[in-house]
Amino acid sequence: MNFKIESNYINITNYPSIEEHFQKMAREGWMIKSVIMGSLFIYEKIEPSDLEFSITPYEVETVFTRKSKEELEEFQTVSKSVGWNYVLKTFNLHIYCKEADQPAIDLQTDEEEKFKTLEFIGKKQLKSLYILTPIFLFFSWFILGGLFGGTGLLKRGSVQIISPVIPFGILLSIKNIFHMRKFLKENRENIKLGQDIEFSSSKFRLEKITLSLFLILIIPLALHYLYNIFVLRNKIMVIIAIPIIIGTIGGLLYRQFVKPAKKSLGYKKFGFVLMLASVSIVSLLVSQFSGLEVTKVARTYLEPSTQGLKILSFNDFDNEEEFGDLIKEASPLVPKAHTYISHSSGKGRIETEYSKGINRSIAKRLVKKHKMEGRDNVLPSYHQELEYSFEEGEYVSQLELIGLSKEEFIELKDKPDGEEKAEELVKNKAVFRADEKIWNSDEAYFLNYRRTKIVIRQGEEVFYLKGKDFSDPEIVEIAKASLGL
Amino acid sequence: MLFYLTYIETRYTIYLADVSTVDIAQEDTKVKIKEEEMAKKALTQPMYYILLSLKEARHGYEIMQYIEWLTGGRVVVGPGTLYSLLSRFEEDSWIKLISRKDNKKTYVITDKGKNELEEEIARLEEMLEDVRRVQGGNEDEFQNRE
Repeated sequence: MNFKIESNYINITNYPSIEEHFQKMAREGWMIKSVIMGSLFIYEKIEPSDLEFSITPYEVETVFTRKSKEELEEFQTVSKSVGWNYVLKTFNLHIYCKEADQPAIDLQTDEEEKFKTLEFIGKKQLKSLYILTPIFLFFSWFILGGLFGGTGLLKRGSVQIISPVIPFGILLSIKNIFHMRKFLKENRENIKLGQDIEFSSSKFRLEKITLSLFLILIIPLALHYLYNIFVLRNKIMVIIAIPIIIGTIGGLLYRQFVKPAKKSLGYKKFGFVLMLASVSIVSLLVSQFSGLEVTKVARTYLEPSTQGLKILSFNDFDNEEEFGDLIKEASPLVPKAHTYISHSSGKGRIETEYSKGINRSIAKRLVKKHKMEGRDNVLPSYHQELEYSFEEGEYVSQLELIGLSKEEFIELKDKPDGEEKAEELVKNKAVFRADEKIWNSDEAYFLNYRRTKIVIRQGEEVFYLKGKDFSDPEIVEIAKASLGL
Repeated sequence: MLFYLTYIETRYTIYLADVSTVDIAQEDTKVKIKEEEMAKKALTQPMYYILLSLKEARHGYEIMQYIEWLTGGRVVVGPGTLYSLLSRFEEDSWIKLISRKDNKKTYVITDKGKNELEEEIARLEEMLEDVRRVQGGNEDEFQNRE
């Protein structure tokens, strides 16, 4: 092997220990070639050499500024002329080396100035952490909460792939804030007292685990997106990708043209806000357009074939389907899934959600989540009617649709906790067992009082159907034939 | 919801009413004093010599060589220290870029930078004067002070 990959960690609080590490590796015949995200070190095989390394902080990029290629080249040329050869840079740390016996002027010659540079970089990192950590925590809560709560995210591969790194990410974000604050505070005192900067001697295990895990997971995540977009032709993924692509292009243009421009800070701030605003507006417009119009285009060019798929449509009943929308998706826990919506003018729509879990346990979990959703969804739709009935003491006939009869209402209306009891009653009536034998299945549950929603499980396969009276024997027979039950 | 909005409005109205113009003026003065204190802080040795060397237009490597020559090798400024300081000086308008040729940026000190340098020189002269007074034997003068 001519190269070696190592999980390590470098930042402004520990780089002198990394200089020593690089020296040791060079003596063993490994020369550092690349550092990815400050955590993945790639070495190249060389003849064992006695090299000395020097790492110097030199700010390359902030939110509003960026050193040009020429500026960095000038720094490298001057460093070379005092005896140091450029190796690579990682964020704002520049790595140089020389033969151990060759004379050279130190890259950093003043401890106070070195600290000022570190403080400048550290404070900016802290600012970013203050802004990004709450956003990250919010998304983590959203993702992890969804993973344990709803059916959608159980089938969402990106969430399943990235979720193992989230707990580590949360801990790391919080730790980084405290670690950086401590480093800056302690060394501010050291410099005031005329002492040297004290660098961290931590082993940075959490950083190494988190960043390595992230770098390992990024490949399956990218593959997952590509598979869903190009193989399964998942329209939703394409729509999600649009703002990401527009944002990336906007960011790159800003980085390339605005940041290095020799203009005032005000001009750059204006450029930054303008970029953010235009990217947001364009993304929003494109997403809206995608949602409304692209579906027609997608139906023609992107729509995967329904052939061989287990779906229920209006064509199975009376050949009156106007059009259908199909979305195929795959995830590690549910490798095969699709949602089909059959539309018919005047008759509404029939929905089929098919999922094949990796095992029965996942399939059972999906059924459980559908049942939970069935219970939770009943009240929001009829909340106003229920509230009105109990406030005015007058029965609203729509409540019959969710199973609250006039007799039950009269019995409860004058009780102090009547409304709560009615809510509980409605929830209990929303989900109830269907006859598995009729459906030739292992489990079957109606998910609303009217029996127009049902979840059926047969082995690892789960079917969620909506849009017909699934207690009607004729409809049951047609559905069973179409779904292969 | 309405209750919540009313609560917020009341709470902040009270806070704003509690802040008088005197408080605001005092806070402004504190900020001003802090800014002045920071501005009066002594320049570090590399800052001083880099600003001094930029009384004439020079590029990075030339600055390093000039400082070494000027101080007879007593002061050496490494590239890491030099370029970080040049970036900061340029950001604070203490120096300005006058040309860029063959990957070499040439800078010169600005009026703002000159003021900073002159203040530092005055501070150093005062310190030197103090040394002279001590060397000249001012103990009697100290003992007979009013």
